[in-house]
Amino acid sequence: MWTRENYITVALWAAFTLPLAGWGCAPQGMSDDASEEHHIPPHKPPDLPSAIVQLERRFIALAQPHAATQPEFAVRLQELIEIVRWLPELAGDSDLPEAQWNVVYQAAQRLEPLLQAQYARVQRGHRAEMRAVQQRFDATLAQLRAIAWSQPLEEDLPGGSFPGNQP
Amino acid sequence: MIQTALYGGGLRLVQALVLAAPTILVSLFVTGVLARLLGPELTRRLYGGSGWRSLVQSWTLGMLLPGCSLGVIPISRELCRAGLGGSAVLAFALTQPLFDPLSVLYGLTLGKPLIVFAFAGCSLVLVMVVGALWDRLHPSLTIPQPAQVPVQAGWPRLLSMLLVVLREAAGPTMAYIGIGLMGTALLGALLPSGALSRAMNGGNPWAPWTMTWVAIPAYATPTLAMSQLGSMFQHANSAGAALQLLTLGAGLNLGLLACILAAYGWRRTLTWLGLLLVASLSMAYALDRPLHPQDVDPADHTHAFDIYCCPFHTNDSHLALIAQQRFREACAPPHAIPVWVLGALVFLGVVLRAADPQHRLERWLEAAELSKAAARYDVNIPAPLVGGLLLVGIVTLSIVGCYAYYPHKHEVFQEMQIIRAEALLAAIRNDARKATHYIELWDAWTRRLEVGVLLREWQLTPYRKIKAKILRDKLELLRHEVESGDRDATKVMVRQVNEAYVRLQKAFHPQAPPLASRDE
Repeated sequence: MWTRENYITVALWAAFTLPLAGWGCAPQGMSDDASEEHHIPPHKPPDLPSAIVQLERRFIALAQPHAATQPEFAVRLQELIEIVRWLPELAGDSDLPEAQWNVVYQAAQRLEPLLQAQYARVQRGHRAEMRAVQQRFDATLAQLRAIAWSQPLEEDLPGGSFPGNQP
Repeated sequence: MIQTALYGGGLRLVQALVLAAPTILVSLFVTGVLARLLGPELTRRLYGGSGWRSLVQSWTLGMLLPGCSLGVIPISRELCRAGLGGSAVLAFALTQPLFDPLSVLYGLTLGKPLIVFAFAGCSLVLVMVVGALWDRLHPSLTIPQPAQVPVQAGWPRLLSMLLVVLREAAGPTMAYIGIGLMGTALLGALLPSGALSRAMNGGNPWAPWTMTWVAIPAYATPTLAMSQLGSMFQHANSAGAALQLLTLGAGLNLGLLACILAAYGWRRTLTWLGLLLVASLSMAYALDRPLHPQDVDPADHTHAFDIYCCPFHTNDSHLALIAQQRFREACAPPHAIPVWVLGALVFLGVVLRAADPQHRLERWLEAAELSKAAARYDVNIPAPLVGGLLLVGIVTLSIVGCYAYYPHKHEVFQEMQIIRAEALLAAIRNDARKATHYIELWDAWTRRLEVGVLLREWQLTPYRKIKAKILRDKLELLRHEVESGDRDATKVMVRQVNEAYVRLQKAFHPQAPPLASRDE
């Protein structure tokens, strides 16, 4: 005699196991010798000064009237946002002191929402108003430039005596 | 092939046992406290008896008590014996292994610590939904137990508690724990090395589904699960799979399922498991996109689940020799002590069960007035008060223990100094196995450094956080270069890792002497 509980149990298990039919034999990566690497996006700058140069160039290009078609514009704006997001990490991977790093960090925190707002406009089918944010963008960039180029060039760090440190 | 599987499964079993032994010991002790000091009536009240309240109370107690999915087995059995409702027992069994103070603090080092609290909330919703539905299907499911006779205060009460611990250690609990460990061994034997490295990538719609099947037989302590979660979010892996890893990987194992099966029977267990799987998978798929870290560069792999796969490659030469070395490392003295203590308890328990199968010793303790009446200054403390204090003590100790597990930054840098030397030398010598081992240790110590500072200074600046993250990212890249065998690229990464480490030290510990002079 089948009770309500039996039906529920069978239904639950059917709901859970049916997707097995479409699962295939093995999930991705079921291998013994998978060669693994980290994907570094091609537009990721190597350091803070390069990031600032890239930001400047890309922003100017996006601020041009009829800079690109709508989908291409969105991709480029997204890349610009990503470069802004990488700023704290790129600055952190240098000898920048904490006070100056904080300026970079706060600059990134300020710039990202500005650009995100424009990205949201583009996603809704409107034109981005890059000129409207240009003044604030330029001011922040000037601040970053002053920090990045006031830094001494990469010098040997303590601990350089460690074997393998020599390039 | 078979030899690789056998060695791999065996090593994973031993590693899991070493990880589980401390929490199993704590849980056996808690079982003794519940059985002999609190008693069934107070235990039921502590866990809320039945209904919605019991689910919330069981979840809350589960969050506070340190434990793991193997350690929860004896406590769950005791809760059944105390007459607690089935759904409340299962709510406790599922949530007690998810978090403890150590793992919650570890979780604070994740890119977005709020995720830890989001996952804790998800586990509450899960146990509430599954518990409520299960209660509707199987109303007032309790296993009736005979009333327990109290034992006289003093040494008779302590002895009776020890007898509970010994009988539990040599009873069905140990069989269930064995089944739980076999699940991990089975995964280690069947899954080839690195088999799961790409199965949990962000955007892979099968990731939560695959994780479900791996997580059920796998055994993970709360801290291990939290470190895997950290790695998953660092690599922008599937957030839904991460949730499954926590709820099913840390919360469930084959031994716990066997225990539930023995207590409630096939039909009820299958209903509960079906409800749990459908509810947890629905939640995992619903949260996969919203919780996905958008600001992380996705990696196409993770090493977080290597511990569930075979530790050896099929083409490894000198397998027996490498396996012996790995077994020795796993059973090194400080880690093996809890296993020896547990072994001693099991042995004594077997002797007790063989010598006194009828529980005559317990009946004698219950019946006789064995110690002298309390003197004026020898206050007779009621058993429930002692039991309550002991439970509070365990929770307090686990919080205080955080300060030992996450030491002061001076000690962390001393440890990291040694690990750094070992890791970088192994990398330069292209010893991939040794380098990987020390890189993993180094990575873990960077997180312990962050938590240690947070515990003592009550803040962790973004500057310090980014320095630790950069070192971890570079360690990961170094690991790949060593594994690929590219010596030139390895040397470049060794230099970069060393630089990142010096910067980390400057950020956290500016007064530390320069590394070069320390090395001398």
